[in-house]
Amino acid sequence: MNRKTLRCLAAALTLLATAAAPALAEPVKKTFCVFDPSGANGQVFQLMKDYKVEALAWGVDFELKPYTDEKTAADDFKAGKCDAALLTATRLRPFHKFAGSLEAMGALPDYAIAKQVIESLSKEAAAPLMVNGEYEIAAAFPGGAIYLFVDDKTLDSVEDLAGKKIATLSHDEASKAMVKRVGASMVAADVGTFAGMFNNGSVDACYAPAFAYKALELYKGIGDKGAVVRYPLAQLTLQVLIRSKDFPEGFGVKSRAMAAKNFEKGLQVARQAEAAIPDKHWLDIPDADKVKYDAMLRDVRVGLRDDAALKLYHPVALKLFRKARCQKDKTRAECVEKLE
Amino acid sequence: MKSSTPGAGVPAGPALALAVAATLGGCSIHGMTGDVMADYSTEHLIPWVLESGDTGMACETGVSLGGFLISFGRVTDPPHRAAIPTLLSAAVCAQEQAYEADLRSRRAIRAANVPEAKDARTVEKRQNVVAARRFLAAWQSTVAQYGMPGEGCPELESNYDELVYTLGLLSVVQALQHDMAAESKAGVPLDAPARAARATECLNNARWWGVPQALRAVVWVSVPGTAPDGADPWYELAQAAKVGEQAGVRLAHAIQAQAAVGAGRDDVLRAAIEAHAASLARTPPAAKWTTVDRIATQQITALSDRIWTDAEGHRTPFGALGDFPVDPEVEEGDDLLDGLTPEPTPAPTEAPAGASPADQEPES
Repeated sequence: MNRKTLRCLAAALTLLATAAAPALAEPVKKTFCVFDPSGANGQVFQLMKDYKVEALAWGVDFELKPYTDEKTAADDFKAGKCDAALLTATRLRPFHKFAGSLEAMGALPDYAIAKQVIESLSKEAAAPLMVNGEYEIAAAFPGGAIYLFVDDKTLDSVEDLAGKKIATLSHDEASKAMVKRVGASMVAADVGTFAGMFNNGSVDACYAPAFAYKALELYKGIGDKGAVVRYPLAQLTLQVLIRSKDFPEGFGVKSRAMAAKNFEKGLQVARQAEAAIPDKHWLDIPDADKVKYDAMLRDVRVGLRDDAALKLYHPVALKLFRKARCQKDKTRAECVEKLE
Repeated sequence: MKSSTPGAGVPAGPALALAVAATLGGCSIHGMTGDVMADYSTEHLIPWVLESGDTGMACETGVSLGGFLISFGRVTDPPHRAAIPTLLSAAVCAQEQAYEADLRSRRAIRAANVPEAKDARTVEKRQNVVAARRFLAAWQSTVAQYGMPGEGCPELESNYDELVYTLGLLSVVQALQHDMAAESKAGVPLDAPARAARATECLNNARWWGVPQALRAVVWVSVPGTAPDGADPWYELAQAAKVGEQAGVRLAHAIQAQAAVGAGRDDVLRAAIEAHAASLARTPPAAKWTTVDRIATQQITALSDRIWTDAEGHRTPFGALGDFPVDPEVEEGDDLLDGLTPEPTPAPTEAPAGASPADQEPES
C-alpha cells in the first residue's frame, strides 16, 4: 500500500470510529456553592467531592465553593453567582416547594420511609415533580433526623412545653408555627447561636440533628437533668438545586439516581452520631404519646399546606409521604382519613 | 523500681510467684528497657528529630519506631510523653500520602478521567483514615497523660510537657479534619476540637510560635458558635502567623492556610502562602525546631500544589512557592508592546463539511 492509500484508510477508520462511538464532549464547567457549617473541611463538603467526580461522567465539571452561611449560598445562587447550590430543604423552599416539603414535620418518621421516598423521587417518572419552573432538584441526600433537645427530661409531653423557651431558626417558618402551636415561646436563633443558647441555659429546648450533640457540645445543656427526645421531628435533607437549562440533558435524572443509590452512605454520619449519644441521654416516649404527636404534626402540616399566607408545604408531596407511611403501616388512622 | 531478684533461701513456689509478680509489676528486663526507651526518646531522639530538619526521616521514624516504643506500654507505664510526637510524625506520613492522592484525583478530573479520579479519591480516603487514627492516638495519649483538655489546665512541669501538650491539641484538630475527609471511619470525637481550643489558654502563645492562638481561631472558624462574642478569627490567625514568622517556626501559617481552605477564603489562602514563602527567604528556621518549620512548609506547599494543579495540571514549580498560576482572563497586557505587535490574524474559514483532516494535508 502506498502512503496515500494508507492515509485514506486511516481517514476512513477515523470516520468509522467517530460514527460508532458518541464523541465525549468536554465537560461543561459549573460553579457549585456548597453549604456546610464546617466549610470545606466538613463532612458534607467532602461528600460533594465524590459527587463532583460522579458529575464528571454526566458532562459537568463542578468547581466546589464552600459556604459556612446557608443564606449567603442561597442568595448567591439566586443572584446567578452559583450554577448549583447544596442547601437544606427548608432553605430552598422558596425555589422549590415540593422539594422543600421533604423536611415537613413528622412527614418521614423513620429512615426506611425517607429512603423509600427519595428512591421514588429518583425515578425517571418522578422527573416532572423535581422541576419547578427554571429550577430543578438534581439530588437529595439524607442529613439525619432532627430531634428535640431539652434541659429537663420531665418535659416529656407537648403540654409540658407550653411557656418554655425554644431556640428556633429564624428562617424556619414551619418550626415557628409549631412552637406557636404548642404554646412555647420562640427565641430567634441561627446555626451559630442556638447551641450556645441551649448550653448557657437561656433557652429550655432546641432542635437539631444528633450530630450536634457532640460537635456543638449540646450534652452540656442537657447536663444531668435533660435529654434528647427519641422522636424524629423531621428529616434533614441536603439537596442539589440547579437551573435545568444550564445543565446537560438528563443530568438531573442521572444525578438523582446516584444520590438515591448512596442514601445509606449519606446517612452513615447521622447513624454514627445517634449511636454516640449515651443511653442515659435518650428519652423514649410511650407509643400512645407517639400516636398523639403523629396526629398533632399531621394537623400542623395540613395547616401549613392550607394557610393562605404561607402555603408552605406542597400538597402532592404531603400525599406522597402519607402513602409511604401507610404502605409501611396500614393501621395508622391517617390511612383512612386521608387528609394529606 | 522494685528488684525482680528473689531472695536466697526462699522456697521455689513463692519465689516463682514473686518473680511473676515482679514481672507483672513492670520490673522485667522489658519493662526496664521500655522506661529507658521512653526517657531516651524524650531526652534525645525527639529533640534530635525536631532539630534535624529532615521531615522525611521524622515521619519514617514515627512509623518505624512508633509501634516499638508504644508497645512498652504493655510491660511498664505507657510512654505517652514520647508517643505524642512519635504518633504525630507517623500521621504526617499518611497525611502526605493523602495529599498525593488528592493531587492525582485533581489531575484525573482535569483530564475528565472518571475511573482514575475515583481510584485516587479512594486512596485519599484510605490514607485519611490512617492519618486520622494516628493523630487521634496522639490525642488519646495527651488525654491519658494530662487529663481531658478543656476542663482546666494540667500541670505542665517542663518545656517538653508544654511542647507535647501543644502537639496533642494540634493533633486532634488535624485528626478530625482527616476523619471528616474519610467518612468518619476513625471515629474522632466531634467535641474534641472545641476542647482543644479551650485548652490552648493553658499555653504560652509566644513560646509556642503562635500555635495556641491559631488553633483557637481555626476552631472558631470551623465549629459554629465556638467563637466568643466580638472575636475575629481571621485577625487572630493573622496575628498568630506573625508570631510564628518572628519565631522562625511558621506552623501558624499552615493553620491559617488550612482555615482559609475550609472557609473558602482564597484571598487569605494565597496571602498565607505568599507570606510563608517571603518569610522563609527572610528568616531562617529556629535551629531547635527546624523540622517543625519544614513540616509547616510541606503543608503550605501541599495547598499551593492544589492551586497549581487545578489551574495548570502540575504542582507548584520548583522554587516557585509564593507564585501562583496566571489567570489568562485577568492577565494584563504589556504596555511596552502596545502598538508594536501585529494585529492577530483572523481565523481561517472552516473546511467544507465532510472534509477529513487527511484532505487538508498537503501532498508530500
